[in-house]
Amino acid sequence: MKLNILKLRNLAIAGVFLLSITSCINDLDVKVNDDELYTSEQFYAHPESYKQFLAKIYAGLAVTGQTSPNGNSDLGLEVDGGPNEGFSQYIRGYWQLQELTTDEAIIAWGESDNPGIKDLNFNTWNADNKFNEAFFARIFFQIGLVNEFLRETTDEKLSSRGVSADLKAQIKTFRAEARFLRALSYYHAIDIYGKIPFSTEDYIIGSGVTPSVQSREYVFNYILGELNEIDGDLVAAKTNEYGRADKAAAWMLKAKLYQNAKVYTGTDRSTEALTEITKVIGSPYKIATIPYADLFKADNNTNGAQDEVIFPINFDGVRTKTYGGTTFLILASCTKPVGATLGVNDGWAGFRTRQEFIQSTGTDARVMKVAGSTDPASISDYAKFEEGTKLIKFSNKKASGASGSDGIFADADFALFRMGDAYLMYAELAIVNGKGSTGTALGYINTLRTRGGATNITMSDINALTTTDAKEMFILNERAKELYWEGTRRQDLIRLNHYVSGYTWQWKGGIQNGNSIAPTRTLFPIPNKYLNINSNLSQNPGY
Amino acid sequence: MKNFTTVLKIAPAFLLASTMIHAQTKDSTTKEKKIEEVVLIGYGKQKKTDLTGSITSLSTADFNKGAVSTAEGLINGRAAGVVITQSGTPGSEPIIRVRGGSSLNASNEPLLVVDGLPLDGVSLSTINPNDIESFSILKDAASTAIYGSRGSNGVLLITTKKGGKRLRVSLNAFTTVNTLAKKIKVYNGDEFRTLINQFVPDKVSQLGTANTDWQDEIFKTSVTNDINASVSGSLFGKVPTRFSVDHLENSGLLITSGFQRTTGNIAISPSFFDDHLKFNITGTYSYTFKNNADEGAIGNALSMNPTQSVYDNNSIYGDGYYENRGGNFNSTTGTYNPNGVSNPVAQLRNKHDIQNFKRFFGNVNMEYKFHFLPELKLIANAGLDSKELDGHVTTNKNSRNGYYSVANTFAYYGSESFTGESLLNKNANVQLNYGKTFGKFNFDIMGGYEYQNYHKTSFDTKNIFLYTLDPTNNFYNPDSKPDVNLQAFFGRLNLGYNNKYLLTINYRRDGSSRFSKENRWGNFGGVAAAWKISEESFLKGNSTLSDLKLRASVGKTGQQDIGDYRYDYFKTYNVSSTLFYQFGNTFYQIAKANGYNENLKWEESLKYNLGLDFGFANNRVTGTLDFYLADTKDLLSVVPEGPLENLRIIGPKNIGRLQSKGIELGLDIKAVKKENFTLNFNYNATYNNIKIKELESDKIDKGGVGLGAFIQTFTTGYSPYAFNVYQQVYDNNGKPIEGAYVDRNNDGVITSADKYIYKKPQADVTMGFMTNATFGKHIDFSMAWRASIGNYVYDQISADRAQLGNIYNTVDGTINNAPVDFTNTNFRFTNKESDYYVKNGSFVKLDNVTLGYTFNNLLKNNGSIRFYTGVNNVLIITKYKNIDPEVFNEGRDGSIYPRARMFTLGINANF
Repeated sequence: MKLNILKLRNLAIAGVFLLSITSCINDLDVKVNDDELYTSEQFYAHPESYKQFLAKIYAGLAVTGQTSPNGNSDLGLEVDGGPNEGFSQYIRGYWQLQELTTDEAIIAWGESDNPGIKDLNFNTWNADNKFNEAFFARIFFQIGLVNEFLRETTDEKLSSRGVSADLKAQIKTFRAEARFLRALSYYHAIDIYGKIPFSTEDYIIGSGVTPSVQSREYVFNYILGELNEIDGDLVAAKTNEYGRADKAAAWMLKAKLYQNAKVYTGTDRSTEALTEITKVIGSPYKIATIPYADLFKADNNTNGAQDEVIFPINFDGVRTKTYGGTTFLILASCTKPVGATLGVNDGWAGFRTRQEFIQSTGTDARVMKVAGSTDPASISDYAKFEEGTKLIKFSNKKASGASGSDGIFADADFALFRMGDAYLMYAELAIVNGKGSTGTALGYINTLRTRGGATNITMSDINALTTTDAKEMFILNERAKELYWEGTRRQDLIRLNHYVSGYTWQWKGGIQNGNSIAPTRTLFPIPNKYLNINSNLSQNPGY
Repeated sequence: MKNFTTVLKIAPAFLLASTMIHAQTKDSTTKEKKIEEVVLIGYGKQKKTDLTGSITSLSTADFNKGAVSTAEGLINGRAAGVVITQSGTPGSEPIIRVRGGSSLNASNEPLLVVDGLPLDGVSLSTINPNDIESFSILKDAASTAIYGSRGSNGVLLITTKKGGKRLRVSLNAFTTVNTLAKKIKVYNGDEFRTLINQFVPDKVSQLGTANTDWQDEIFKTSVTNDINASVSGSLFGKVPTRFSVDHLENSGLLITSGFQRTTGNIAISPSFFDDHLKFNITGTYSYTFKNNADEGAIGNALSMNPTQSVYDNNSIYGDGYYENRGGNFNSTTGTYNPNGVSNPVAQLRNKHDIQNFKRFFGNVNMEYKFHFLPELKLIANAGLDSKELDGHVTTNKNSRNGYYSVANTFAYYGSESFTGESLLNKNANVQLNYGKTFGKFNFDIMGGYEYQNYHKTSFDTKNIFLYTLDPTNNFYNPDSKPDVNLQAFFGRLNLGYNNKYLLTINYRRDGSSRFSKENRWGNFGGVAAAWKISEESFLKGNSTLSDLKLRASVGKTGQQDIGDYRYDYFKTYNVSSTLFYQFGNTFYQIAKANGYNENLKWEESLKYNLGLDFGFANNRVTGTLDFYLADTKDLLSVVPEGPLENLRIIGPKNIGRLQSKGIELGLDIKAVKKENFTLNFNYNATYNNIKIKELESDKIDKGGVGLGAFIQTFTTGYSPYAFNVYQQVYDNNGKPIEGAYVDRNNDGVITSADKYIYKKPQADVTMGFMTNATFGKHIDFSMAWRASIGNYVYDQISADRAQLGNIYNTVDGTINNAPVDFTNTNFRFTNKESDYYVKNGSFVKLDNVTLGYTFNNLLKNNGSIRFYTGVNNVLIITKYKNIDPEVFNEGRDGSIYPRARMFTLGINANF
């Protein structure tokens, strides 16, 4: 009897044991149940997810990760080898490479906090430069994100998920905008690096294939092809929600490519540039009839500036926070007391302008100097912020004078493309390239001058420009006055042949009175770190 | 049976104790039989002489003496091939490395198993060392492969004390006085005044008249008390039972730190049906209460201006403490915005950070010998490990950290936050075991299944005051990450012939939820053989060479634990709850596709071991000598990913190969064995060499020290985390020239290509030495030394601070103190990547000296009382200038909570 009971018990134990093993094995499949983390199936089950993903791609130009303002970087932890999260913000990175390397800006920060930044001031960077490295990482992260969005929104995938016809139609526009954003980043990449790693949505993650490297010209043509293809799917100019791209944004990007085509491909494409910029100027966007300074203020998405902004990058002191973007552009441009006048309660005492910029822009009212400052224009030590003329551009004050929503993080949006720029692009095509009408160009220049409170010029001023050099310098000057610190200076100087030589500024080349630099400095190096990882990459000449 | 459970349910500790005492009176004559030493192995035990693998077994007699308040403290330095780095922070977990570890980025932590229950990570802080009976450290693959994936970095098996037939009561208590052994040298007030006058004359206005040693201000001499009582015996004369309680108080060296731990441990071992069915039930409950001191204050004490007093009658924030002003007046609020370094004393005093930690772990072990076939045993274990943490932090609103800006408005807000964490680790295994002897053959076969699940949820409210002050950015957001699940089937065969030749074969098939269905299962196993040479006729009975055994093993283990990457094999999305992007007038949450690696698979280590156990002079001298080699491939590493390759630039991949090899020697010498004088020596030495043999992409930056500077690397041919730095150039006086590095590739410019690999954080040789002596019947003496040779340390304390950019911070306009190393360099900026900061960290430490006096033969020969006194952390002999070269963070010495020098007085009473 005793034995029987035991046998039964053994059988029962064995039975329970076997049953539990089979059900247990299923526990090896990961179950995700969180309000921030989703599996693909869970994520795409929500119709709003597509727009949230699109918002991330746009936000890729504005913020650095998934936690505000810092802490969960898209580019990994610093201890694991990632870049400093603040350094890696898209606009901050792009701006530093386009501005600190020119007469428009020089930064006072020391090597202890910003190692390698003086080499941007001095045009002496090498392939280890941390700011170059961070921007390189950021730009290709951004492109990879677009590729993923396109892979996940194909007709097949949408149909298999049972996406409604209405949402499908919206996603068609989303896809066109995503492709615009990819084209934009590829444009930035060839502008800075020349030849670059390249892949599209056809690339399969985990395939083990190393992405190819394509020439500057190849990518140039690819971008144009993309912009032509999406033209039909983008919404008409100025009919999209504020912040999202439309046809005019794509035309503007095409105009930029064509205008710089000689630099990128060796072939002048100013005729095509004129066609595209004319379309932009003819669009419903216009020169905002508001004080020039208001274009860069905390409420520039509502104060009238939005009529001029063809493509903004949006920031918000509460919901879109970063240590880059306009927060960086405001805080790094001022001391704490000046910061108080700009609606922020801090000041990082970073960049100011160089004396050559002040000499060439003269007393133009658009160049807003810090009132009452007696700091010398000449800079004997880049690290002394008290040397050099301090300017104001972006501000966390509203047009009304009220402060923005936070004391550190700025509300002001950054206009990547605006009509003022389009006007001056037209003027350059007319005056330097002999395309279009110089009369129209004069009108455009004076429209901007009038709005900015500067004196108008006349046709005889333009006719007085007889040499190519004079014409180029004139346009450079005009662009400096209207567009200083808006992130176009290096590109302008290169396109208009005054970056390497023919024009020097203090500390260019690392000496106080400035020096010419090697022609290879028109391209930045491929960061050494990535040369090691992608064997298809090779270094740019001169590095 | 019924009685037993009822009693158990209602019996509080003292009742249990009295029951045992009662039972004891009926059963007083049993004598303990001397049994052959049995060692715990994976899922079983074995006679020590029959071991085939490389296993170090340590029991009470081998433990470190003196005031030991942590489990790892018992064995630190006692076992060859085991390096333990203990923290100075009370209640913190140590780092334990067995044979240097075998992974790059995946966990290098050994598996800890307490009475059959595998714990979640190294979590020893809640275990009372007095409850520990023995450690078994499994080192070679043949011993650990039975644990499959979790055994890759060695296994520490811990057995707790159980009840016996005889009633024993023991009481242990000690008190230690803990002092700061050494300070980091920074400038004193007078030196700092001179320094500022010389280098930053603009800022002399920030100099005060005081001479404050900020390190003296934040550290205190503290007292640790530990009291422990245990009762063991047989419940009703039948059920061996042990019960113990322990209370430890250690307030730590920082003025506001504190740690209290109370543990209760019970072990009950009933058996039924003539011992055919045996249970071992163990349970430990611990409650820990911690006052966390803000360790950031240690760094701030090095930087804080020493010419200012701690206290200030006109304090800015109204808390009575001096804080930096630095021209930072806020005219709107009429006070100063927080600026520069915090007053470390105020930082500590104004923050109240407490943590409650409740942990229960327990295991029920059942062993059933089949009635119809007693050689067949069914063994089942079911256990759980539950940890509940809750924390509460408040900051005084009238303090520097309580005064801050919310949406543009500075005010005295203060702060309050709550944190919580709940971990549940469930484990169950079942095995069948059959053992039989046929003539000269004996064999033992075992097969089983194991299930383990790790669950974790946590929350951190952050500052709850912001919920109302700034609700859009601040809200409750708990975190729930997926569980980790591990399952396995395993088996082992032991064969023996003629008590001379031994063979072990084991196999394990492991499944992990970290990998895709295709890569989920890994097959691991090992073979080991041993030859007891001393049992052969030509040696048998030889008293000079009294023991000789040759062992050899080869095995394969796996690794899947790559930390937070719990679900990297499939695509996931992160929807941010704090970041939005504006389209029109609407803010949209931003959603990111996360990077992933569907090809992630098991990391595999192939391990070889050749060992010799020997004994001379009738085993007066015994020892082991082991040669080992571990070759790990498909390393789970967190590495950079090329542009456009993935949706991230850093992530886990299976890359490369790592090789670890070494020699271990352990010696036990009973030098003098006389009635009134005994002297024993225990010595172990380990040579370990670990090198990366292969990497997919070479020269991976590691050791980020901020702002894009990296001082360590993964490079083929070198140790993991080898220092990768520039070679500093010095002037004729031996002073480093700022920014001047050797152009090692002679290309005329200094770029990262000129960095070179200079030294490594791992020691070449580690040693432990202990001597025990008894004089007469009463006096005992013990001394324990440890040495580490060839390990280098990156002096981040000086690299960060000993430079003008820190002494005068141009960003916030404040002046700061610095380590005196600034006098050697006069560096203007940080030069973090210079080899100047890589320092020799070799050391010899006298960990402990203890002297005891015992009164024997108390209570009719049944009791003894021993009093002892001693010092812990007595002496460090090293060239390294900072506090202690034994650091965490792969050899980067940021600032660490100093290990105290402890003076002890203690008592052990046994009845």
